[in-house]
Amino acid sequence: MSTDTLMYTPLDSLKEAAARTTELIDMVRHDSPSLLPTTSAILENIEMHLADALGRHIPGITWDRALAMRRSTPEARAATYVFDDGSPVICWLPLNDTGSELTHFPRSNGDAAEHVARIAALHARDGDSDARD
Amino acid sequence: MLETDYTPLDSLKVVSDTVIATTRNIRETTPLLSEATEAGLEAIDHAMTTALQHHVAGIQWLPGTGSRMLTLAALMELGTLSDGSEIDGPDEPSVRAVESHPSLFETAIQRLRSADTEPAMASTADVTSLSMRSTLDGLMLLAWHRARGDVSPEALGAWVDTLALSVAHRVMGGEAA
Repeated sequence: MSTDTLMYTPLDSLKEAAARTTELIDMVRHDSPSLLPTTSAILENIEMHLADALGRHIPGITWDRALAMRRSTPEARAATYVFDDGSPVICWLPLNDTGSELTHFPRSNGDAAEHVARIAALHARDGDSDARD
Repeated sequence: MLETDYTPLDSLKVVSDTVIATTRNIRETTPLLSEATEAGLEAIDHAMTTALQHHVAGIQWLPGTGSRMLTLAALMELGTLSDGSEIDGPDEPSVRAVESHPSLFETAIQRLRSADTEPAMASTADVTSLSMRSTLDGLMLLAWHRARGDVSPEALGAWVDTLALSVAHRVMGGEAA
């Protein structure tokens, strides 16, 4: 079990897993524009399950089947991105002077400056111009 | 159990089970996935596994394999909701895949026995191979059936779940090397 187990309530873990997965699905769509329709539909299905799971515990979150997207009231959206102790689940940081933003999960990624430096070094090594976590 | 009665941990277990099964389904049904898609799917599985690790002991992520290893206790915990009811067997797609190829059951045992006596079997090449993933899946299935009482402990032996951890450590060691 993780050493930081006590920091996470089950709802905290659900929120962070949902945020990470949503970001990763966006990344897959961005990096693989020629996804098969079936694969794309399956990814959409994951998003629906995440919305359903969050919606069971955060009032105001629903899945819009017609548009295949999550709908949240402002209060629900705010609650989705805040842990039970009030700290942020996710934030977006500028990555050097590239104009790109870096997704940052403060609780698991640690210090923001160190995270940015770590990712910038990876990008420099790989020659990757995309801002990715 | 009604979904409206789920605790947050119930929801986490159910959605993780669904997501991991779904990413596996994509891998099994989509030919020639791009590297980016493969990496993204593995990262999704890792994110879900990490979330579960916060609350359930006995779950290990195996770097470089896209797989996780569970102790028998963790397997049972993940498959049980707060009211004691069971969600579908963990990793249902794996279960279906292995059940449709019964020989894999035996193959998994043979490979794991070999791996236990021949360290060379746990080379990085093995770890990242599809066959190794299938072996791990097969092992999960063994443990699941045994836990449910579908297969007698005498038939399978007590080595199954301890060997699971042994292989996991071996895999982790292989990666580190």
